[in-house]
Amino acid sequence: MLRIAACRAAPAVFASPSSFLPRLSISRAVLPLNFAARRGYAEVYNRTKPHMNVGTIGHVDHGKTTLTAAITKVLAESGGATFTDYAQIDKAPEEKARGITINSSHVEYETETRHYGHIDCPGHADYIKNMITGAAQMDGAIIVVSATDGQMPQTREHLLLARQVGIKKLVVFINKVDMINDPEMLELVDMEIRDLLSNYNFDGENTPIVMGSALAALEGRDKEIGVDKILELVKACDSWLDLPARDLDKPFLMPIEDVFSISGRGTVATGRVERGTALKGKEVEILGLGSSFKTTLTGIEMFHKELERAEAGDNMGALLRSTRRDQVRRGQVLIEPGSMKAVKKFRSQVYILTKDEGGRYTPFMQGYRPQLYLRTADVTVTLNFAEGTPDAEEKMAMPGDNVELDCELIFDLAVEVGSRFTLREANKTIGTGVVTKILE
Amino acid sequence: MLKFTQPFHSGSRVTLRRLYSSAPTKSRVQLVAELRKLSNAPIIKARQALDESNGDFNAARQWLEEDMRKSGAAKAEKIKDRETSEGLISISVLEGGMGSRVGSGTGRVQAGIIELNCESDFVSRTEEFARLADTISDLVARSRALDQDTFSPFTLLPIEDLLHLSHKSGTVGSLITDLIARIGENISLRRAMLLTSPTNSNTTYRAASYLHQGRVGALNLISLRSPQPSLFKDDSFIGDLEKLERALARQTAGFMTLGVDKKRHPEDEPETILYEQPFMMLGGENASIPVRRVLDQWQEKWGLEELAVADFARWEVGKD
Repeated sequence: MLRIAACRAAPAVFASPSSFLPRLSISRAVLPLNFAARRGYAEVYNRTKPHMNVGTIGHVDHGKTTLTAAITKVLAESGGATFTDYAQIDKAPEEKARGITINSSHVEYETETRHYGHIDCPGHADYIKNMITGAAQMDGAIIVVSATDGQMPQTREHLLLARQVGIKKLVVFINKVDMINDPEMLELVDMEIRDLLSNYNFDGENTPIVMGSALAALEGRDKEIGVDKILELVKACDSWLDLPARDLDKPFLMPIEDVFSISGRGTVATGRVERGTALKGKEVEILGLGSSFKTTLTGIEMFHKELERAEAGDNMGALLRSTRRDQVRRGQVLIEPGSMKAVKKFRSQVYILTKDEGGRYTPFMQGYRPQLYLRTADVTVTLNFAEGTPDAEEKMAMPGDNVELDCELIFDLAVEVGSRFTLREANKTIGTGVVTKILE
Repeated sequence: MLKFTQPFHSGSRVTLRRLYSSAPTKSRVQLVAELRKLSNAPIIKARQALDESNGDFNAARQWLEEDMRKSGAAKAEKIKDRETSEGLISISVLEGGMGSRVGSGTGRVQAGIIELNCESDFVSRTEEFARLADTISDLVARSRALDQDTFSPFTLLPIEDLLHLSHKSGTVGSLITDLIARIGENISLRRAMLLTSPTNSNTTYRAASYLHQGRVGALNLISLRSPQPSLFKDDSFIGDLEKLERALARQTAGFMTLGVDKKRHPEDEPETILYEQPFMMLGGENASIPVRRVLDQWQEKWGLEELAVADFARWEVGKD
């Protein structure tokens, strides 16, 4: 039976680079057969520093791309990045994530303490798509504002976006300070930004604001407003932006893919550990699809071997104490007891795929009932516009829309804020979404 | 907007406050801040305005307004080739037609639909941009077509002429350059169309419109023939009709509608024909019945001789 688990060892596409750590752990557990694969992994990533994603948000002319290029240039000197010039970053190529077309450019760099994935998108909609698909979930942001303009009408939209994608802390870079050369005016820019940050519920008082010139850094002149300020900005990111929790540090969760009954041993549920660590002999909870109960994990098996523990990224078979096979089903999850709740109703941000992306070509109204796929589960869901939406009964969602929807499942599932799902109907992916609030 | 009086800011705020109180009159920084609040002008411009006017606040405002015109034009010229693929559709109905609560309610229909483009969707989401789009669509609705097409109630207006159309303090063109100066993105008026009802003695017309997040807009011309004109004074009839019209406009926008009763191109899918689409937007038991059949039933219910969609415009931002 454990062969089955081994067959599934090839992991699905990883949503975020943060899951590369677990990937390494798979290769550790795998025997020589998978050796070739392991070499492949090792070449892609070999790092010990914690990872996080940041994005640059700002007006088109305020120097986002120049700043990004400058960061890679400055950090390249300490070996933490490969210099990527303006033209290379500026392209923002089209990419596909979960079938959705997103425009965004990526660079990466390392500071003394962290590894950063850095994204830049041309528009609001692209950042939202990144959030919904998890293609590049931003854990923090750098807002770029030109000292010559100060905050602009669209700066509000930039901050609203940061809020919408769930960013709690950001760092501000006031660019082009060499063009204003007047401490009083710079103080005014600083003050305006702090006010605006506070108005949008960011910590306006303590948010680091770095004033410099990305171009100076890029051209290697005026060190004190150039290179020095880039280093200061990077340091501000290191100290002010919070690292996201690593998958390994989160409570144990394994979506159940399959259930077997092995004579003489009992019921075994298989799946890939999404996060956390499972220990043999520990209590676990089975959750979702109308039945939830606790039992003991009497054995962990992986690739014909019995193990004491399994961790995020591992494909495991979980031997469950005194559990009948019909008590466990695909779609349920195995978790650390009490770490999640099974819910039926939640609010979500959903992107509706266009016809070109393989989605619907017609809109849908309130009350639409497609299938919701979350981890290994698929359950019929009723979609309604978020409570309080004016004229909801006359409202529609069209392909290409980003909408806030309240989802009501016919069976409960283990859902939490940040869980991602897709909506399908007749073999078509019509939407993809992320949970923003648990309702019931 | 900026609130300088909020109590919970220390740091730089405190030093600035002290600066204010020690100065007998308002400090330069404070004046610049106020200028910015009023005009949204870039910091560098606000400061220049104050310097050029020797610190006189009102003179600086005037200087800014004038400069906005000059530098706005220069800025617009500089970035005029930058691609504008985002933006908004805006619809303005001036005369909603017979029995309508919009306009005089006489038989005339007059409405405008425009597409205003900018570079990023951050800008198209700002209030300023939406206000400009609405101002322009309103002006378009008020304009008169010079060479009205006798076959179609819709007339595409030449953009060049529209840019010279005058508005309170300037022209449509100057309104656009003003916003370019303040927002710093290229903005362009892509297309504009005027809807006027044909003069047809035994048919009455009404306009119906729907905007989907400013991204998709539909403007429909509904034609009706009734044996009893008094029907248009009946509130229950008008209420029912308005509901139907809203659904028709939503239907037109929501589906990829290309034609009313026949395909625009032979290769088009049947769903592009309004009358053959299931009338999803009316909901209830009608959701799966073709639009035309629902219209037939409705026509019968109110004893009309005709109820039809005479013509429509469906625009999507960045598309044809």
